Amino acid sequence: MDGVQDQDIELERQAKLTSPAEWLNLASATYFLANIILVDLLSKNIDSDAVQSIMRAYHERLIEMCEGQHQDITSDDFSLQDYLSMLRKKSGSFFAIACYAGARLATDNSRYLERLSEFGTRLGVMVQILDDLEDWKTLEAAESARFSKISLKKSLPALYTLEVLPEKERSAFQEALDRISDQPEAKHIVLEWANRSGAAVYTMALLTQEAESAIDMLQDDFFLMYPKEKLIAIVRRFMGEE
Amino acid sequence: MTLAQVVYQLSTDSEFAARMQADPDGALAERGLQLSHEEKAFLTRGLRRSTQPDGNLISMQEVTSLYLGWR
Repeated sequence: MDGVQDQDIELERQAKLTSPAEWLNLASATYFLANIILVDLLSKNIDSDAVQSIMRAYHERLIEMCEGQHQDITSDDFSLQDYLSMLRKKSGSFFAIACYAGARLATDNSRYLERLSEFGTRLGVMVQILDDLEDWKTLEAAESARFSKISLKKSLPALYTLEVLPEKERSAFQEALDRISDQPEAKHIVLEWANRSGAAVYTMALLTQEAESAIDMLQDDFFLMYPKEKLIAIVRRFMGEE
Repeated sequence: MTLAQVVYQLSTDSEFAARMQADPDGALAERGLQLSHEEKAFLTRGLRRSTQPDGNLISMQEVTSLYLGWR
């Protein structure tokens, strides 16, 4: 669904899907499939309170994701603060429910469930920021045919640069972003302004913040050493450390 | 978004960047900027990772290579 919204040409090519209708149909089927799997838990030998909690959390998180997606789809002009809040909803919620569901099968202790949900949220935000970096990597490679202008304009480095540049320079940067698919020189302007403004440093600072906060959520004796180390290793890998 | 403003000034003003290294609290106060204790800690660690041996700050090209190299 995100790919349809961003008009992601490369993703469409890889998945061999030809129309947005196909994408939406497939994504809808995935949600219903997840529902069937959750309902099936009721016939297994699993605590019914746990299953009900997971089913409720699953739907609540999906609604949050829809809220985040709606903000993304309906606005072309949002602040950096709006964007960071949207990331927690549309991507953070997705990973939060994955962490919560697994944890809820093991415990009903709200403190640990909240910590694992927050770990998932932080991880989801990191994934979305890394996705944003993919757009910039494609831009650098000058593969214009594969390039999604929409996702670049709504990426963290672009929104940061728009937020911090003085008015006159902001307009020039915005114009270059608008022309980027059609005019090769616009790419150099965008990269130059982003680099000069410290977009890379800001991105690293935010990734550091999300990674350290995620790891902090696991610093509790309740969590067993082996799974804790595995989860921390995922975060470190996202940070390019392992 | 004070953190964004601080990063922008660090990247565009070498005098401010030097002041931030020597006395972060003083440098921020002089510009009327305020960061939480947490933000300062993340920024310091982020800066450590994003400053190259020659003292230059990391570019978008380098940051994509660093974070996406494993993908």
